[in-house]
Amino acid sequence: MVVRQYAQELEYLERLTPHSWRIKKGFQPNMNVEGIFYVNQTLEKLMFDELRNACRPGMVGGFLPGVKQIANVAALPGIVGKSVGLPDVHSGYGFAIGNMAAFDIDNPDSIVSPGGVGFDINCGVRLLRTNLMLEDVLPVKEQLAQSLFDHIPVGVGSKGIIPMNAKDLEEALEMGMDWSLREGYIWAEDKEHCEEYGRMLNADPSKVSLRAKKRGLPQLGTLGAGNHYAEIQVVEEIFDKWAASKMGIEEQGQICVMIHSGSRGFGHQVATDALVQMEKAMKRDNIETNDRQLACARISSQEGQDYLKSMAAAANFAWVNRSSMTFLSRQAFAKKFGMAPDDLDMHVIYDVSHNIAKVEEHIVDGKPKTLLVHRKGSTRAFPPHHPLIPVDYQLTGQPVLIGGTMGTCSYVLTGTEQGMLETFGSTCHGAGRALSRAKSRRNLDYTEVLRKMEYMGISIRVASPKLVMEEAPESYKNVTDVVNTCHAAGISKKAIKLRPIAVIKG
Amino acid sequence: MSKRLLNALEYPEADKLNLNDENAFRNVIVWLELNRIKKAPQSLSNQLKNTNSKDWYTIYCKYKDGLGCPVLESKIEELQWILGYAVQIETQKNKNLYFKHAVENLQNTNVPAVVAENLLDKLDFRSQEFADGIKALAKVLNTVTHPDPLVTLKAVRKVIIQRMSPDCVENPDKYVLKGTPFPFQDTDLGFDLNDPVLNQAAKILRMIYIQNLRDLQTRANELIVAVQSVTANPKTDTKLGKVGF
Amino acid sequence: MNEMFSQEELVLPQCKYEYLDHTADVQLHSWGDSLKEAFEQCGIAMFAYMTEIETVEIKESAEIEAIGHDIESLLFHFLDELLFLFSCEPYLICSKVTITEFMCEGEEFKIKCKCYGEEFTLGKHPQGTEVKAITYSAMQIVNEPDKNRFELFVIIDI
Repeated sequence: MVVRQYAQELEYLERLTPHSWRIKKGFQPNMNVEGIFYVNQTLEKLMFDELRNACRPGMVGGFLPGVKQIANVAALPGIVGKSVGLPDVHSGYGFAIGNMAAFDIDNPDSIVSPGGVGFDINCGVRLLRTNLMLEDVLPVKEQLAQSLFDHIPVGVGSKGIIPMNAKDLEEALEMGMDWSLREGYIWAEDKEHCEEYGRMLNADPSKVSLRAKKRGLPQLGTLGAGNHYAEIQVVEEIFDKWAASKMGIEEQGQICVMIHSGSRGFGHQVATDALVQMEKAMKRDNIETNDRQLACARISSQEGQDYLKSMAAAANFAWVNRSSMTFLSRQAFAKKFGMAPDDLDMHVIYDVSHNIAKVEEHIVDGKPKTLLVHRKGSTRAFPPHHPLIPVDYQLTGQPVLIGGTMGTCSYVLTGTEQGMLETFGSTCHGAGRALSRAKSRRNLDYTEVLRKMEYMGISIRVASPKLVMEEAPESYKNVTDVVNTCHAAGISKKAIKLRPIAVIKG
Repeated sequence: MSKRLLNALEYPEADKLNLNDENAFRNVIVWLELNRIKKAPQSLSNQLKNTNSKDWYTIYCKYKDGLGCPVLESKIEELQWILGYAVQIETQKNKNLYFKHAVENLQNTNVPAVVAENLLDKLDFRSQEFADGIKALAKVLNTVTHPDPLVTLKAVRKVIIQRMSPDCVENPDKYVLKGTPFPFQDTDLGFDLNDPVLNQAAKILRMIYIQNLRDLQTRANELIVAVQSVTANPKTDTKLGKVGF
Repeated sequence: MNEMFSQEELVLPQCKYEYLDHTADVQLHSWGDSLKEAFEQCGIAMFAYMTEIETVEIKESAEIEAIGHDIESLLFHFLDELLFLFSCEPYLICSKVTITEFMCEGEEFKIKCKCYGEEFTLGKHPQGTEVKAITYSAMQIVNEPDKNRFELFVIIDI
């Protein structure tokens, strides 16, 4: 790797607009395309601090700074357009988290990389609306939080409460949300408001190791731990009245439920298995990357195809998982309010995936191309009239759900034409970490964090209270900064702001 | 898929079958012909029965060509085709039984079958009289006319079917779509034809397209719900895991 | 039914591990008087991140085997096996791992290991952080017998 001083590194970075920077070729070796990242002033500082730290002599960290990782991704074979860093970017395994890259399927050298998807395949966010208002919920807020906690299994070592056997799992992996529908856990309309209609058709459970299936079976229908959560939220601000109205959000004070979860141990094992396979494929096919963590295989190779099929199965797992928790949330509300979920109008507004690779059609240099788009910590944000978004959102653009962190706000954005052109229809995914977990644990006191939540009027149920400081808002970039940057840069548009009133966590 | 079809055809122990096994494959073909398809001439079916013969494959090719099996990539695909063929024969055989269960028939059992002479067949659609009549009708119904009276007729027909049915006249709320208003004039069309009139027309087409799509999606949802009434049985068992501690 | 264990088996090892700083994830650092001990400690370090290890009693044991093509992949697969032990049947959380066979030279890299602990039970074992996966990133294996230095650094994805 090239060793340069911080000042020398800066020569490769150039401000494009008030909200974006260009990473020129040469910043890292062999860059096929340029990089770009989106930031505002605050985030810019974090970004450059990270780079400066890495340039200090004697620095031996595990991860490269995010901006270096974006550049390394730009050096992968078959990449087109730009390697894009979204405002919530931070360093991750191989690809940065908040990194988006597209590869030309017709180029035989193009690759697929599990690092570009992440360990938690199809980690994503789902938002349910209700017709309840804040004043309906406030008197029973504590009980409602407890009821959710009593319905949704959370935290390390928790097991799902929806009966499943190995055969059910096979079917669920193949069918995704169609399985949940068939078994009656969700509504027909849920499928409509879900990326890919909740099912990746190329899923092939036979490509998935027995190990992954064993890990996955007991965990289906569980929330997980870490940054995953289920929240009861209230509409705090409506920026785009018409888009909100299309989503069934009419006024401030309306209550929603947000579920942030992924494919659990199943997806993690699929990713681990694939990384082992790809190490071999890279040697065989002489694929050179700047970073060993960028393990990848040609899309057309056996390993590449197998990964895409097993990743699709993991994506289906995640959809079934979020669907099962949708079912449990509806039950919890129905019991608490003595009303059917139908009467509470608990419809899915949308369901997004922010760790996934998908085959999509995009216009590159004026020509339509079929691309394999990797989005890691990045959400698809398609503009109005795009054929792949649900009919209800044809005029507004795809809803993009941006989950905040414990105690902070969440946002609903919509996709834009500009985003389609600049970032292959992608935008940010959440807050993105700013502090390391260990640092959070050292600097923050968990009782203090919990007290602060209480002060803010947030009921909280956590499986591991001592770890709340790792997930405390202070450990993350400010989600409002992140969202405002996306809005200002035009790659997506603000529609709704939501504030949590109850949090369920692992 | 193959196994499901084999099961439907009541092939013994279909679940345990390994179709990639040559012997199993041969036995399935023979069984299908003898028990379900029964189309091969006696001599061919006798030869086919001898699954150990080294000419078996040639005989098999002759047999499947006889059935009209198209050229396919693998034997498994050929089997799939032959299975489909067998299922078709079975379905034809029991047509009346299945027909009784068909959705349309469940609903329409009381409709008397009347074959009457259709007076409309005698109409001259090109006559001025017809055109004037349609125009008058359209005016009554407040429908815009088109130079071609047949097109106008289509529109008139739509209005009558959708809005003039007795149920609709009595309960208009059930039929007249009520949505929240949306300022579609201000929305981005996604392209620009450089002509305000054309843009307006394109926008209207977009709206109609979206509404068609919505109808389609609603019907798909209704279908799913209908299927759910048969398949759905959601369960939870809190003994399996621990919640709310 | 609890298994019977000898006194010696029930003795818990000294704690020779720590958690180092990392942006999104956590880095395990373990050491010992031999590479084998460092491996054992690294395994416990991972379990200790998932719960408070003091609450884990030794009631059951399981044997695992891990194979690698080099020392790094041996460590990777060793931890992956341990994680697997926890993630599904028998849901074992371990407070002690004893490597019974340790081949880390020449052609074959292989570990056989006995893991002691009990089934992870909500209510008894406080929930810590979930370990998603083991990674190769910044993996370091210090194996310097002449200086009596044996240390491991592994980043786990959480």
